[in-house]
Amino acid sequence: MSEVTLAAVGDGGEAVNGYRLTLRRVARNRPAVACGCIFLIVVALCLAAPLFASHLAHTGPNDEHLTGTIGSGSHQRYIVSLTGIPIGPTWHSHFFLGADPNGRDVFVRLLYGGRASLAVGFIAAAITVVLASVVGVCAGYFRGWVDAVLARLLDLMWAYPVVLLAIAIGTVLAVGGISLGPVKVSGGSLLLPALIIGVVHIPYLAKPIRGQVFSIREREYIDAARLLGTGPLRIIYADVLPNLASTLVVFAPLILANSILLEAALSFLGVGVQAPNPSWGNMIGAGVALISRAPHEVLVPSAALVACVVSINGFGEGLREAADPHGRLELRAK
Amino acid sequence: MIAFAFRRMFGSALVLAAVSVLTFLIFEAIPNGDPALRMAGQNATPDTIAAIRRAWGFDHPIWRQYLTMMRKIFDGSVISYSDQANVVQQIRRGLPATISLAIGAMVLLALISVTVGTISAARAGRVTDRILTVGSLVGFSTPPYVVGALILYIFGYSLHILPTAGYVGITAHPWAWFTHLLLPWIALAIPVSGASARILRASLLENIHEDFVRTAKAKGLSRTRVMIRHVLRTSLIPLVSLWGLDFAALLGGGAILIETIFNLHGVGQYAAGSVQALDVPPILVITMYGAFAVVVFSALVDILYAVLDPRIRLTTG
Amino acid sequence: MSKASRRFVIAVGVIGVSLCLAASAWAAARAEGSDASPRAAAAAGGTATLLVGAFQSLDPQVGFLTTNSEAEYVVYTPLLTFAHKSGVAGTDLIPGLASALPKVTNHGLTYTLTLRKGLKYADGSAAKASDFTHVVERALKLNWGGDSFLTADIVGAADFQAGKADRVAGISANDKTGKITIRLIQGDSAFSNILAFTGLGLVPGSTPMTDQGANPPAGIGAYKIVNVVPGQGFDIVKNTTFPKLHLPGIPTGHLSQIKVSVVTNSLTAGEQVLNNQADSFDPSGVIQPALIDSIKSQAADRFRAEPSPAVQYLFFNTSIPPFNNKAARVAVTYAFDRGAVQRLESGFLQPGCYILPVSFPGHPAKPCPYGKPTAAPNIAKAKAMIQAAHLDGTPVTAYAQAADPYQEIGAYYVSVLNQLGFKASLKLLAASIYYPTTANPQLGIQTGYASYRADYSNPTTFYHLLDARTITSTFSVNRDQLNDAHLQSVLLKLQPQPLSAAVTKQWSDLDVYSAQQAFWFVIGYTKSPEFFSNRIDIKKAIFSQRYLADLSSWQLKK
Repeated sequence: MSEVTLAAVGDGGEAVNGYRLTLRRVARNRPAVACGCIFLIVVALCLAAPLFASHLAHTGPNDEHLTGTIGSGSHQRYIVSLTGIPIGPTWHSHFFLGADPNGRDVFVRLLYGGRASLAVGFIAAAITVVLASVVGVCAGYFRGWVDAVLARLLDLMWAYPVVLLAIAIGTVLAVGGISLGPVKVSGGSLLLPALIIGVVHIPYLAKPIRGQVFSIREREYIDAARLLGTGPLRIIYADVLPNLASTLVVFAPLILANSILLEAALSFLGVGVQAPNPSWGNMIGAGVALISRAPHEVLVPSAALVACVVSINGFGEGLREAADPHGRLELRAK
Repeated sequence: MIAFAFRRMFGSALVLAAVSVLTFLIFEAIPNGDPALRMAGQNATPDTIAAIRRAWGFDHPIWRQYLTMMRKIFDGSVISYSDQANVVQQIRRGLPATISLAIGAMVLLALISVTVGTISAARAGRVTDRILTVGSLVGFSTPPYVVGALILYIFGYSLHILPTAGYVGITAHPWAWFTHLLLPWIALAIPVSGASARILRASLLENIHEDFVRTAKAKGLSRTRVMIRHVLRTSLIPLVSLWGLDFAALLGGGAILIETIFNLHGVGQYAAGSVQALDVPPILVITMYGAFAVVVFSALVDILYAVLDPRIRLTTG
Repeated sequence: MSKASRRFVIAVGVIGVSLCLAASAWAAARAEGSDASPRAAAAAGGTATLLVGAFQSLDPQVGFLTTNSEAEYVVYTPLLTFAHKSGVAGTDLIPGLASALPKVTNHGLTYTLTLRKGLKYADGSAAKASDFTHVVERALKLNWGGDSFLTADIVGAADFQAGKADRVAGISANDKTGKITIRLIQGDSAFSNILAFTGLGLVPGSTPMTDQGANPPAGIGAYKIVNVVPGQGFDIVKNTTFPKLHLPGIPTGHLSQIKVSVVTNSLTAGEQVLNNQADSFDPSGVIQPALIDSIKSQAADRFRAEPSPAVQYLFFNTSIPPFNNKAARVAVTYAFDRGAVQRLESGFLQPGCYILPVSFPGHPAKPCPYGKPTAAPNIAKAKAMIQAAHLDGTPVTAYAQAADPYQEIGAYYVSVLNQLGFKASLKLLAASIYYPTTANPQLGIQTGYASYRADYSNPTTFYHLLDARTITSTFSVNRDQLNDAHLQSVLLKLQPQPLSAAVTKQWSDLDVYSAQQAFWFVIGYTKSPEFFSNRIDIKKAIFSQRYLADLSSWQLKK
């Protein structure tokens, strides 16, 4: 459903301000900067996961303590009760935010899960940006049959129900992984969900880029360059791309946020990051069954996911405002 | 104009065909996904498996299997691999829940986003606006299934004021229909209304600078009344097109996660179950049906938009 | 475009969209209306609701899920049936539509039965002996889940299924006398049990050779199935012709109607029974932990945990490393803590080390060869064994189903393997492809979780999973790919022999041998939960070892 936002911002006229000006403006927008900082803190915490695991919690994300106990003397209790209910937050270094039904430390898994979710999100967003730019620029610059073919391809991807496509490919690939010639990716690798999510979001970015390249191409200096005999690659590199930069800057956070959300949705269904490896999505999915007895299983990863996405979107809103302060971005479905 | 409509319809048909081929191929690529093995069950022998393969035509070449499947889809006789139920009938049974879900969610979405967006724009820059902005931001950053799980816990399991699962037909018991759908509607509406409210706010603030608005203000109307009477209509146009797409996605079984969490047995839940069972016929039919809904609605919306806004002529179509 | 025509187009657009919405709402209402919702017959017997996770086609010769058999047990009576009693007594065979248990002659190769006279189906038509032949042929043609039992045992069954013959040569039925004769390919002491499978429940000879799941055929039983909505539910209502037949040992039922509905979320289903909104539920695997505490505190008097002959185990592929080395298998036996799985299954596991469950014929009395099943694990010793065998560092992939609690059990198993020094990873497969995939020898699957529920009260039901004769190049229920000389010779000797005390002792010796060789790591035996609302009299409810809930025993509390 967050695809709505992507679709809404798309296909607008080009941003008013160039990317450098945009970035300078957003630096003066305090709430946006605050959001950006929160996001960086989240990323830093997740990167520091191994430190926390080895020095404070003394347990890894997949280390199980199913039959173990915690505490001593009269306060000793099972980490997972005999009927399968895990303990809640202890607010100490061991099991800071409680345990999961397999006796694993929730906070450690939260941090490692964040690494997985963020890694998939970033890789997917990178894939989307690169591929969408290539497709959008080719379609917009070369036009003719190149554009016809690419535009139909984008239509096809646009029409396909996004979540179903991702689930379908994810299920198939999770079963066996893929091997393209010499490249073999196992079913459990993080590259698979990243690839799927990255590809699925391409039309949302390729269409606005295509539209923008159409109008850039009409400009006089492009015509002049072509008349002078400059090759298309040079023109694209020197003239087209810099004008696209501000659009990309505005879109990047949105794509990142949507990628993280889609990864969580796929993992929730079991076709993203594969068990036993944690991701915020599969932690939420596992927690739903226990929601009445051990609500922290759902609340903790949900809070982390929402905080992360809110901070990205907050910064993104600031960027959009800085790029186009008078709100002249047109809103159209396609 | 007519030519445009025809071009769109032809393009849409092509897209649908491509969608069906793509889906079929994806599931052909499943390693160890031989449907004959699955149907044969836990005690199968090689003979049983061979017999199933022959009976269902799995030993034919792929293109032939695809064409047979398409034929069966269009004459409504396609049956699923896992329980041999007629797929089209199953989808029809899931439609009441999915349609009720979609319509209710859209109504709620429209109400919330128009209210929030208008107030936000009318009080732009002030405290109310800031609070609503943050609220919208958090709203559209929260996935629907998280909202769903949380409100299910609070209102269903903790406070016991709303039912926790199931769908009741509106003709059978209208009040139960409403209470069973209320939580799913809220879960679906909140994330999208967050986004829509933001878009509406931006659109309102942009249009408020237009000349005809200045005239109205000069006539002495208050800012809020100006906003509602004159600007809202124009600002809603782009949103309506988005909502059209959203509605199409919901109709096409897009609310997979919500339907599953609340056990509504709609088209989305059927799709999720079929994907997890790697049951190709329902997946194929639902995907095509979903793509069809999106294609039809986006074409309708584009046509409507082109009619309403003469600036958009379809050169880049 | 002029203002007026713009307004016109907008108006048309709005009307068009409203019409679309109205049309879809109307279609929705129509679709609902076309599902005939039965008027709940609050007759003298009463109505109950049962929630299940799923069901397959209700055509008895097609579906093979436990949910299906549970319903079919009281709807389609075969020639023989299982006694309607709780506990081990419920595994005894009694005559169903046959007048007596079969006469076995010709060294166990010929079975003779006679159909009772005057039998009538629920639709009033008369039953005849050739209906049995028809039922077997349907089961073969429709690929019934248990058809391999038929093709393995009955002469001519395999040929019929392959299309090489137009009838099953080994069955002859005389409609005038009611005599039915079945010839077997090999001696199988368990064959009588197969005659009691609901899949061989009699249906009229006119029933077509296609799946009738949407409108199940008439049967002879206390109830009949109506109002089937695939994937959503069906109703079981009293069969009024049955009580007149006076079949001994087969109850005529108390409730007048049982509504079966699908609720895939077993937590939701359990909560509904807890709140008395539904009368019972079949948890697909176990009751969720979240529910157990509530049940124990609020509803302990309407809850029971029943032992059942279902074994949960880890299989070891004995044809490839590392589990071709006995030391590796024994190491897992020492390192795996069954208490962990008990927790993951909310306590619904009875730990055990032997393949044959407690109370099952052949369960050994001897203590477990590697220590008590409830003893704490000895990781250090197990690790030492692995190192001594130079197996540390071997990559191992463990398989499990991608559903709760199996994926958690898989995750635990992988953590144990890693503690032992292996480089272990977990592979989860969707439930629908799990069993066929793990049965494929070509994939080189080393180990994984599995469970098996006894089909009848004879050790062959479990030991055919270790029988080398079932191994083929593409599909082998013997996931161990086991070909153990001693086991094969004992199996071949014991299989055709009926269960006397001497034979049972030999089975238990074989079971001890299997435990010593650690062919499987047996985790334990499933305890099936029985949970009712406060309307149902739990004391009168029978739990069948074979078919779970005996629906004909359900009655409302007075």
